Amino acid sequence: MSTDFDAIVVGSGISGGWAAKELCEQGLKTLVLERGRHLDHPSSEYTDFQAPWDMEHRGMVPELYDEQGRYLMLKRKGWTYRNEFIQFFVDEKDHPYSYPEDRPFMWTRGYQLGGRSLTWARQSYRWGPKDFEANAKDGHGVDWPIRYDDLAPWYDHVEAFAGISGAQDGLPDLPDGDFLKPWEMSCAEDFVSANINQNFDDRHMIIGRCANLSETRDVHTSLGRGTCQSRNYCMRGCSYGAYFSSLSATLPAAERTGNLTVMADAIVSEVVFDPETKRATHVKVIDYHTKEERLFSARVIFLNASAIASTHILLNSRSETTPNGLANSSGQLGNYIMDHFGHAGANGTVPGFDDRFEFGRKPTGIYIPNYRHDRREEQGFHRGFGFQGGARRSRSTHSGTRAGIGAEAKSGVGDWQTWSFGIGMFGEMLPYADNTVRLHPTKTDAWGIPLAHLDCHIRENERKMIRQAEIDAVELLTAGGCTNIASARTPDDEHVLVGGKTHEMGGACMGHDPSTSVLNAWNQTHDAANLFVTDGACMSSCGTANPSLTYMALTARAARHAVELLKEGQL
Amino acid sequence: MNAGVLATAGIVLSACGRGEDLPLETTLGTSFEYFPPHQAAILSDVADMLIPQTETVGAADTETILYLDQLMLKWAGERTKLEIEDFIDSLEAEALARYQSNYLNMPEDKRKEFLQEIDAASFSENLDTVPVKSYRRVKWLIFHIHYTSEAANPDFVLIPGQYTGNVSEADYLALVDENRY
Ligand SMILES: Cc1cc2nc3c(=O)[nH]c(=O)nc-3n(C[C@H](O)[C@H](O)[C@H](O)COP(=O)(O)OP(=O)(O)OC[C@H]3O[C@@H](n4cnc5c(N)ncnc54)[C@H](O)[C@@H]3O)c2cc1C
Ligand code: SF4
Repeated sequence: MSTDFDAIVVGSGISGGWAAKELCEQGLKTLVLERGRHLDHPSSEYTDFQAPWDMEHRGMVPELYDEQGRYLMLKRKGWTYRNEFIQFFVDEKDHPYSYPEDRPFMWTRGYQLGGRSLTWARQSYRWGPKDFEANAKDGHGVDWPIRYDDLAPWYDHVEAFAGISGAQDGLPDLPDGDFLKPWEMSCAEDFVSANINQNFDDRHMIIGRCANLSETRDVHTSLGRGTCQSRNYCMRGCSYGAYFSSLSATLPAAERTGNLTVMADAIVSEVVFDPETKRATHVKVIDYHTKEERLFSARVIFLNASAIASTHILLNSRSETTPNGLANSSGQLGNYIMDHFGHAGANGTVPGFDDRFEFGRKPTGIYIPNYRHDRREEQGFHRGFGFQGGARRSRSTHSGTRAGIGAEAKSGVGDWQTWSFGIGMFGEMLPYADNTVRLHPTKTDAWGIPLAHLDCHIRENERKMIRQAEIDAVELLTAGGCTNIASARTPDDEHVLVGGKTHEMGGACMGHDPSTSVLNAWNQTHDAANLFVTDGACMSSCGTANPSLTYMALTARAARHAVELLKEGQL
Repeated sequence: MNAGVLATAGIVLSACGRGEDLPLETTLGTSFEYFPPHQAAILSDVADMLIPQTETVGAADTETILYLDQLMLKWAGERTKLEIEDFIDSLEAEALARYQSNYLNMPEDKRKEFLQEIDAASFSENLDTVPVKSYRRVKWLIFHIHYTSEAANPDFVLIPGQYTGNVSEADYLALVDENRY
């Protein structure tokens, strides 16, 4: 196998898949290096055709794992701790990282071809103009070197290929796109939404936009992708290719160009830098099984290992000229780690629809985008939050956790419950320079690489948002016409696990100024022009909307720029 | 019976041993790989008491304890294994202490009454005792296995093929019928 390529992409998840597709389609011989195992599509590891009774252990994760101290963080995550897709998540016992004992960090990873594109919840929203202006306006973090208009055409580009379903909502802070037809709201959601929209000028409840093919276009069918079957089993992998993943979409598109080489079980430990040419020349790879080390070279290198992992690779790329890591002349590498945070919400019942039902399991919920931009004076905190949630009507069940036996316990099981509706907040964490990832000074993993050490916590600004979000959630449900409303929030003195929303961002932020940021407006490192970072590490702020669509747009934009620079002979 | 009585059962048990010589009037046993016949018989009886066949299927129809047996081999950790042992031991000890009989030898109405008491006590007080915790664990497992079985989910549709959020019950049932397989 050749060790020299036009381009190397590190990581094959959401952003790496996009880098590979764009670079291959532009004619570059591209090597994708993936630390996890190879997976086909459809894969024998998919479990999407299993009914509940067909699933191994009926979906329960083996108890043995508890005894062996495995998957402890994934277990804390709760809803993702299921046996039918645990194979797509990393066990931190095998792949440890560290954090201060009193400030745990939740780093949820997927080490396989396709990364977390297999298990993401597919919520896909453009960020609005205010999201890119926020740092400049309130002075937190580093000003984004781009604005919404720079990214808008690239949102168009990635949405058309990925297939995003959604409505044309016409909201100023949540731009529309060229969407596939939206999923239908349930009658209960329609009711709540109409009431909210009637009662508030600034708060809107819309159907969730998601990367599930509610219908197909040629661009999808040409890759063998089919229409979504409303199963909501997406985290198990989808044999129809009906949700966007690297396996169903970007990697096959890259593959058909004939320019793609994929190498699995290849752990990138560092990027090699030539101080004379100021170029990244090689990546060092450690074989997962044999631990053999190899070097691969390319004219452009894209880091897409995910926010923490790409930052970690750069930190570990130490040499005489880069003793604190590559692309760290600003000293800002590893700073400004962010995540969305939840920790407040409400639920209630939706009266009046007891004779109405839903059929099918739609793979999305509802969205109430951030309506609190620019209200610092009035609300006492910067930035804001949105809500995600939905309504459901299920049959009563008995999980054996309450009193009652025999016919009495069974009576009522299977009866329809009334519609319930719930929402949870997604708050914007401010970029704090001292929320960091660093190399652990002494501990290493099984391949001799220093562990990533994460030290992050939320501050008073976020606590204020959590308090306000609980109040707002109740207001929204009340205005929405719900009854029996109950709300909850995490108490002020309880640690909020950063990483809990799996939207980790920052670490190698974009900025105008090489002395205060790691990447320029095109995601090139200021210190090595042929080295690009286009995953969540590049984000200078974290907004409130799910970020992956933005990573896709930034990646496609940066890849096209890299190709232009190559053509111009600048790289 | 109250939870206090149940909680003492562990002590009573140590005096009466593992009950190898209990009479086992059961046809169960051949398909079980983990549970010895007397344990399988007790658990099967308890499952059937907890979830009897009514107008809908019961735990016997869904072969709940047979499935539990498989879970013990491939899924259960030491904790669950111990809790199930504890549950059976406590049940037997309590039956002996109160009725001077092995559980399976008690008449059906007495077994039911007995379980009802255990259940009520287990969800009211003294939640931290070993017998209470083990009973709750066994109950949870039985309900989980039963209600995730095919027979207990007659309108489950694996591939709905469409989503519609506002239909009448008749239309819903028609859609289930059309799309079930
Ligand atoms: C349960 C869940 C729900 C989510 N829901 C949403 C959602 O609704 N909307 C949304 O926008 N986002 C969501 N996310 C987040 C989303 O999955 C991530 O933002 C996205 O996958 C990040 O893309 P990425 O390419 O940066 O990283 P990943 O998709 O994580 O891919 C990184 C890849 O790099 C590989 N890699 C890592 N280190 C190395 C190395 N050293 N050498 C070689 N390869 C390496 C990994 O194995 C992996 O394959 C969700 C995530 C989870 C887990
Ligand atoms: S809901 Fe749609 S995308 Fe998800 S697994 Fe089913 S068919 Fe695939």
